[in-house]
Amino acid sequence: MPPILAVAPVDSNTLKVLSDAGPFALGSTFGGILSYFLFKLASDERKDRVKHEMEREKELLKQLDTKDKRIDELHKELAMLKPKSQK
Amino acid sequence: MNYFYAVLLVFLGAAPALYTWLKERRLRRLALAELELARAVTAMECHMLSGATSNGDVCHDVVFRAMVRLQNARSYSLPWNMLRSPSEKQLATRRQLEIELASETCPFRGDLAAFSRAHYDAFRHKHPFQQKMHFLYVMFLYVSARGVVYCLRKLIGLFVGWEKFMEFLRRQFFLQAGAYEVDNSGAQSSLSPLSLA
Repeated sequence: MPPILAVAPVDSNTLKVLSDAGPFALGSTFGGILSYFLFKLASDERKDRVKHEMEREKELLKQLDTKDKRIDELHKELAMLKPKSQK
Repeated sequence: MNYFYAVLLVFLGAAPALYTWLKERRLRRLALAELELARAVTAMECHMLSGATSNGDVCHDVVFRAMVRLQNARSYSLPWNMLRSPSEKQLATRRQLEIELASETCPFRGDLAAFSRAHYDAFRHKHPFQQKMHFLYVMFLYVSARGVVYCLRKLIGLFVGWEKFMEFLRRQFFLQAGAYEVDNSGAQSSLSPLSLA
């Protein structure tokens, strides 16, 4: 007799019910565990995405700064090109 | 059977989480591709500030504008009309771009390549189904189109005989050409073989 049955003795009918429900119990348990880890992975992906989006916003701001500098330079060049009477 | 049932239950139980994970992964990759696009455009802006390309160059007037437009787009696309010949203007622009990129002092070749890669990645992750269709289309055009034409010829040959079919085509075109023929009884008639005979 296996030790578990010595602790909690069950009759043959109960054993049959348990063996029928075995695959379901196994599947739902491991499915639940896998699901937990997959949701954890999804949450990590979401955090990374937010990080990338923030970095992209910084890049866009940097682009605006560079564009401003370029416009300033163009204005300076134009001022140099203009004759003194128009300044 | 019980083993199969257990494995099926594992995947059924994990299906919502699997879907969420794949969706989030796709969105993260899309965000990364968009970040790469923005980085390439910023690098190009810096090169323009340093004077590497100036007004009048193709890189400045055409390529950079296209890059900014693609960066700010909400959806992405790739060309499908690869069979159409480019116009003279497009060819001239391409030649000029090749000349500009081939020069030894061009510092932004790598940035353009990175932008191109990032644009393809963004398209791949924004429209996965379209990208697969586009890939199959390109494969069809450049790999198997000749094979398909060969198979069609063989099929036609099976049914009517290739020589017969070609003769039929020749006769058709000959008849069409005859229908549109104009009888010029002028200077051209002296050049016809009938007049020589």
